[in-house]
Amino acid sequence: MGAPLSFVYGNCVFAAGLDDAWAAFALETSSYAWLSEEGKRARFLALVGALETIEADVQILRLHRRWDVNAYERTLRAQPASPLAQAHVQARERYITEQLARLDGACAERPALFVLVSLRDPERDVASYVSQAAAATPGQWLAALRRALPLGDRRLLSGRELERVRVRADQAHARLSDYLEVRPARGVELQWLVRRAFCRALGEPLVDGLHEPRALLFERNGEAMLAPLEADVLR
Amino acid sequence: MTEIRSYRRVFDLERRIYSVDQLRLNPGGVPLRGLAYFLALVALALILGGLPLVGALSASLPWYLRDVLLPAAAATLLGAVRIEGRAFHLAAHALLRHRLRARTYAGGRRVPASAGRWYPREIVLLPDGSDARLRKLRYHGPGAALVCVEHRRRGRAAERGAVASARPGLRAALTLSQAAAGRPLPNAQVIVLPAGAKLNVRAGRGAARPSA
Repeated sequence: MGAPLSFVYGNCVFAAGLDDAWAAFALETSSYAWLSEEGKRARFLALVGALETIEADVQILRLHRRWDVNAYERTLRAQPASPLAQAHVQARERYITEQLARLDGACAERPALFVLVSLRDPERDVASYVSQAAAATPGQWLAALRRALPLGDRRLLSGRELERVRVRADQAHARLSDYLEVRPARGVELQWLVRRAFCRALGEPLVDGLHEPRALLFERNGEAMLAPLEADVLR
Repeated sequence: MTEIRSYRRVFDLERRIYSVDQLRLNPGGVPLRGLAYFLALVALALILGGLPLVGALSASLPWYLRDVLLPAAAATLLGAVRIEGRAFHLAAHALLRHRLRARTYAGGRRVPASAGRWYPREIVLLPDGSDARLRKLRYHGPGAALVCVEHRRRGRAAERGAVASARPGLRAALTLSQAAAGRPLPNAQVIVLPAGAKLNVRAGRGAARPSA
């Protein structure tokens, strides 16, 4: 059995090999029980529109993450009490205790939805393939030839190639965001997805910084280049 | 309410023969299952008698012992024995089926037993700045970077509000390193890099720790 993933770079997941890249996006979810019939249909049509626009293979991962009541309790107790709350310490403590007792039996779970879009060129018919090749510039021919016949180590991917994948992921993001509330998945979220598969039904995996905001965001414009100089290894 | 149409659905009845025509057998009767065992064992003894080696051994026994007494004794024993509450033939059938059939199921279907275990390989995760702390990165302009955590910046930059621009020049470079606390900034800062400029990001505390 082969490894399902080669490596992960930001929100780009390399599956079978370096030429099998997927871009991962996280979708904002919201309950639609309160929506009217038209609202529900609009939500569905938005998803259909996004899938048609993307013109690529897509995987939709719908899963849930357990809501940590203990972490919520820690957060509540760590919050500095306002002067008014300090005057009502007993009432605040009673409120927290009652809330936790109610939440304890609720089995609270939060839905999570991820969309993975293949960054491979769609396999078209022969006519469209020939017309696409005819429209390409000699530079693009050369680049495609270089990708098809790598002269160096096949396991190596240059920083420029990584950037090219990143830009393609950005283009997929632009297409999806026309229809859906979507953002590129973070590296820690992908790490959570992988580790969750290993400990399914055994508990929630702990991933550092999963619920903290990102530190940096870099523009992707085709000319700029981001080079990671370190890596994590998920064992 | 359940209507019971037959006591055989409720009780496990054992059929016995108490008499044959006018001839009365023993008071307890002869169990029908034991008689079936006896006939099966006699048939088995006859088959084994025809085999080369076993046949020579069985031929050394007297016929009444081989064809009557031993099968009768064995049938009595098998009729009396209960394996986990089940009659011998049911238990033997279950044990044989368990032995011969595949024991591994996947998706409700029988599959051959797995030859070994599969261990997933290590997965390398390259950072792109989406972590909660600064990671060791290098960004070449032209482009812009949004910094959302407390940081220290070194290098030649012109600042205007929340936007810092690297001053163009030979080998223009800025270096970012994480402040001690590394808390999220209330207002994120933008760093604009002209063509050829570099932004070196130094790793924050604990960044080199591998995930396990």
